[in-house]
Amino acid sequence: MTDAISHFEQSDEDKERRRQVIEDVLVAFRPQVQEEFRDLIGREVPSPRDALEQLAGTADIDRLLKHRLLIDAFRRTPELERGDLDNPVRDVLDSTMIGDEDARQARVEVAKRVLDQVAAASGDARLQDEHWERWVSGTSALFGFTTHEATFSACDDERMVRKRRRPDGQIVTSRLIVAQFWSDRPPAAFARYINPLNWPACSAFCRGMRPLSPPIELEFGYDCDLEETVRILGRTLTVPLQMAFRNRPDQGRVWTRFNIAPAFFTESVPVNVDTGTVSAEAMPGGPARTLVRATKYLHWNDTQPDFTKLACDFGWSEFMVQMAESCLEGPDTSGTQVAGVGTSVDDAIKRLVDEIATECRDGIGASRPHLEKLIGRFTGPSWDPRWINDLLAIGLLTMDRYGSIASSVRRFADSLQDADDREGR
Amino acid sequence: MSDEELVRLRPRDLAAVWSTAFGQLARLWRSGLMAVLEIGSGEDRTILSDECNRITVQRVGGRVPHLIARNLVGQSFGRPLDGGVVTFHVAGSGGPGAVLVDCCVDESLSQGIQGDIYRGEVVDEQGTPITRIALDAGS
Repeated sequence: MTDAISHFEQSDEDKERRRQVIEDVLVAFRPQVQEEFRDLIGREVPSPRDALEQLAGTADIDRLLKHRLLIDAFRRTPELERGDLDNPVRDVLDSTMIGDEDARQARVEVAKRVLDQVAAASGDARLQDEHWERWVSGTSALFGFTTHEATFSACDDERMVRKRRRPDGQIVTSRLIVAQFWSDRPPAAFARYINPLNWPACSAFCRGMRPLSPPIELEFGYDCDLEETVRILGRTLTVPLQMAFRNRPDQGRVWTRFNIAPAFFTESVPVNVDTGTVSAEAMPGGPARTLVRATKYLHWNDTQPDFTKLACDFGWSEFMVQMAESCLEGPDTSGTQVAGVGTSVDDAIKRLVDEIATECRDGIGASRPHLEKLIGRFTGPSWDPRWINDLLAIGLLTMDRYGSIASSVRRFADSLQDADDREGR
Repeated sequence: MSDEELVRLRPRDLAAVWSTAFGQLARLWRSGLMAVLEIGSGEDRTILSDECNRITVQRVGGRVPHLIARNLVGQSFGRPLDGGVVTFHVAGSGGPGAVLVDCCVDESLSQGIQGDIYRGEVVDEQGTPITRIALDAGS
């Protein structure tokens, strides 16, 4: 299981099954959540062992999500009980590998040893960025992680921020949840997923996006009030949201801003702060060309239990994983190394050469039809002035390539600067 | 095409060619600018939109200059935001002669900020630009 899994074509039943498998793993290893949300879960919570077996047997959950769920689950398991889960853990790891069984078994054992170390590492029981970084560095030779997998970061939901709530405008302390990853794909490649009308197709937790008003088409996007329906555990939550989808003409940033739609807010809406941004943005100086980021500020409407504490693990993180994976259509240029900060000089040189060679090769290939036409017009039986257009088309392609090459050179410069800083330290 | 045919050609006969060419020139110009921006954007470094931005400020005469946020405009809805709601707190040393400053929006200082990412700049008391900021504010 390493190919990207398209969830756009999935039926509601398949999405619901996928959602339940993910939820079961999350709940099975969190006794406090089981206790607090017992009435809402509405089904028997499987044992940790069964939850992991289900995860291993579900082919349409991406490797990135499986690994993150597994590390989080294993860290939350008391040390003395981890041995009981060895086999299902191996099954989950095996389900994320390719190759024949003998080769897989050997690699599973190596990965399991790294997992044991990550589970025993210091810090909170929950999966944190440093645990994920340790997992990636320890198993990248086994899995060949892509840029978005290696840089994925989610569930920093400990930050609380003061926001004004609906409808009375009082200041309340809202939970800020952030998930992000870097990608070598351009921001425009994520436009389909950043468009909120596609969120239900993308996420197993987002079940609907119903227009509440006709969309207002703008030159570079649209505004629309939408009713978002999300399913978490046994509860369906609907929130009216004012959505602004934008795609900058220079292709440098694509984003959606959402706020609670005041015209449709009623007391029955379960949250009184729900605002944030989902964006893909070209950002020089980072480990890759594009930062894809989703931030959300949430405040529950004071009734119990408070679902905002589940929002990141139960939905937001999964949504971002789908966005990352589903965008890997076409030739994957992301590679297995993360360029930029933290990359060795040799890797940076290799990457620069690869990127420039690819740009030149693709550029020559793309110019070929124009060049053929251009020569054809000069050698044809009659004079054809459209050679001017062919020449300009070739110029345009060349200029576009220069922009991409400039980005590569900038990243290379950042890598050298970073390597210099590290040597200095 | 014979010489006779060439002589008979009028500008309107080539209208399709030249009108396409003008469009292509405009795109070429735009692509050229984008290529330059790709290089130039390196000077802007990373402005990560967040509820707070951490910036580096040089001390002047041993003290931290008085900082002002200005020209803040929401990137989605285009609404302006009064720079007076942005607060500055020294967060630590920023190297020789410099300090790290956190600039954040204090939502209690304004009623009803529309949720957006507000982009603008920070200047000192003389109006000298120090850096650009992108703050996530409102709800």
